[in-house]
Amino acid sequence: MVVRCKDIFELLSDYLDEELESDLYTEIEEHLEECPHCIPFVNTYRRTVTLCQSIEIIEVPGEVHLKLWQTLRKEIRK
Amino acid sequence: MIFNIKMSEKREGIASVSDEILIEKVKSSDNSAFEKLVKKYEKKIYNLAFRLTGKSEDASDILQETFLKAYHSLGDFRGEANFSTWLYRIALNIALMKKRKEKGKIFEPIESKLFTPEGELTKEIPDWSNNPEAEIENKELRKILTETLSSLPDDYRTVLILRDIQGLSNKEVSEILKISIPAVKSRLHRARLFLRDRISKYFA
Repeated sequence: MVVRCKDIFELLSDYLDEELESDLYTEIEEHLEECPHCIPFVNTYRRTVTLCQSIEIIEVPGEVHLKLWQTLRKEIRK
Repeated sequence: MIFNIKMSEKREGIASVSDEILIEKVKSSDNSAFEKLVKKYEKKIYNLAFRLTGKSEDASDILQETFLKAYHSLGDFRGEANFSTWLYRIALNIALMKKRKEKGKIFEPIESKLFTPEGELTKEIPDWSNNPEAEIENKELRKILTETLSSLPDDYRTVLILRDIQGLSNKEVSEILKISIPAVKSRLHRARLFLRDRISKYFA
């Protein structure tokens, strides 16, 4: 198949998540080497995903943890 | 055009055999086993609740209610889904009920017209991907990201949190939300486009 800009738009999420058949990768990458519309689109989309994936997993605050365990232990003892 | 999409699930599963053993022990009145389950999932559930509500106090309430509900309902857990899937469902239901009570909100689809291939690919958006400020360490950008995440409709935000922040697979998310894998992918794609749009405005 010939990959077009519209296909890139639809397949981008699967492409970045490595969920496509391998032959499609080559075609997409060939398209991305020279398409002036898709290059900035894909770069910024990819960076957005990286930013989302960089959002930190936070620790449970001490007081929240304590409150949870106090409540649960009280409930379990019933 | 129909593409043959391979559903490879490369990420590590969130369930484990030991959950099943722990559940059996809880059912046999071994409460220390329940404490082990809480320890294992406390952080994941807190993070889910915090990212859904944006408030530590609400996340704390959701965390407590989730484990209380799980403790009291464990007798009904038949193992048809993984324990983690079942627990995430409880937490999501509690969180979304809480939010809807507060805001009276129902399903709000992202306006799909905003994100057509034609629209997105012809927009004059600068390629900010190599901008040194496009880093999570950039406090202002992180604030925009968090605020934009909060402004996403719940159905999209939930998928984005579970997939991109918590690192679950499409299959796991589809089981938690009881929607198809293509629906998970579609919501994730729209959510990512929505965020990209907002971040692009910051760099414009």
